[in-house]
Amino acid sequence: MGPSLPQTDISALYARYGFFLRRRCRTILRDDALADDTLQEAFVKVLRSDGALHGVEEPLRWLYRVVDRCCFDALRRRRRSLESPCDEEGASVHPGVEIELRDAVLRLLATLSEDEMRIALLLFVDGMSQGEIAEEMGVSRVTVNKKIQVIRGRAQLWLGRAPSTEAAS
Amino acid sequence: MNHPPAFKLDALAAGDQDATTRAHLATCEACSAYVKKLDGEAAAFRATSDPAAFAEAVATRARRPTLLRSLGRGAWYAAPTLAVAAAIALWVGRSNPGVPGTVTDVVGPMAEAHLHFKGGMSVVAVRERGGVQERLSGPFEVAPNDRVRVEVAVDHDEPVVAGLLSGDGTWTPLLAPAELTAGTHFSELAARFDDKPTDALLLVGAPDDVARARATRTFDGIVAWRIRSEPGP
Repeated sequence: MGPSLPQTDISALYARYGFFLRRRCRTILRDDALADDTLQEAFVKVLRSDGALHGVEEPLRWLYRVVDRCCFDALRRRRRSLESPCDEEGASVHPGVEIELRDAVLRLLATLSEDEMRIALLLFVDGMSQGEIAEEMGVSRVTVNKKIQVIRGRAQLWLGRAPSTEAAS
Repeated sequence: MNHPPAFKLDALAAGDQDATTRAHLATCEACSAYVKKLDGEAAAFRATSDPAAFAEAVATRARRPTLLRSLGRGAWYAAPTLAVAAAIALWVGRSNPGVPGTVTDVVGPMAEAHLHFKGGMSVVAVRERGGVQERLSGPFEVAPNDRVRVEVAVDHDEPVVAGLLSGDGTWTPLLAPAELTAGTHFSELAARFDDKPTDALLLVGAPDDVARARATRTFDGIVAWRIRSEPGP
């Protein structure tokens, strides 16, 4: 499935995945300058990972996780205001995601714990199911469901809706 | 309809081969449109980006020395005597689910039982007394006017916070929550004990774990060293 690339060839990785990784940084951080800086930081980690990407079946998935962690760190260092404008107008959104709720969650991202941030991204950006998220994070589906209810409830409050108790798909 | 996760659709748009996801596109108009749009946006990006320049910028950044990003003005991390001091480091475990943690005066056996190198970090407390610095790898005592800071070494990037918790719940930060890069880092702050020091705990660990420890007084998964005040003369 994965491409055949020299795994520490940053230039080749950037040529192939740079657009997607930068787009993800912008989605999470909603700040172009910070996104570019964070993307560089993520590639530094890739460079220092001593070929950890070698043999990874889904390189982009692996790279997304690196980028996600760097973005979480950036968010912690520079907490964005909830009122910050979203810079990704017109961006492509996963077909399985409710756009309004996704935007609300992204605005709230900096206020969540790291586990909640990860779950929020996997659910509202990647469109993964609870089962897939549980497997990805190595936790139970019940745990994922509970955290999703918390995240969803806060997002709905942000949107001015009454929190629902429906299970996320 | 269930759609493949975004990273699979994105990978397809990036040019990776995935027969299963490709087959899904043939039956799903929404995913097909999503990939097609991304494909176009990625092509436009590639036409204007400069991967070689980006790689050079990354390489330059990677050559920078590893430093704690949030060092404060009051740091006394660069004292020459520290630079040459031998490290007496104790590797401590970061997690042991289900086993309530305790604060012990003898840290060695507890740490050994929790040994977990994957998430390991090394902690040294540096006590300054009368201008003399001493490196300590476990619970220790303090006297009036002592100053204490910590040195944390991590074997991979991870968020860490450190501080002193006194008996009345007062928290004195030594190292603000920060993502430490792999390497050794010195706390940006030092705690100075007054003329009547009270007992305290030195807590070092992941911010969430330390916050939990402060709230519940259970110390599993973090470094927790008791600091006692020395008996007066």
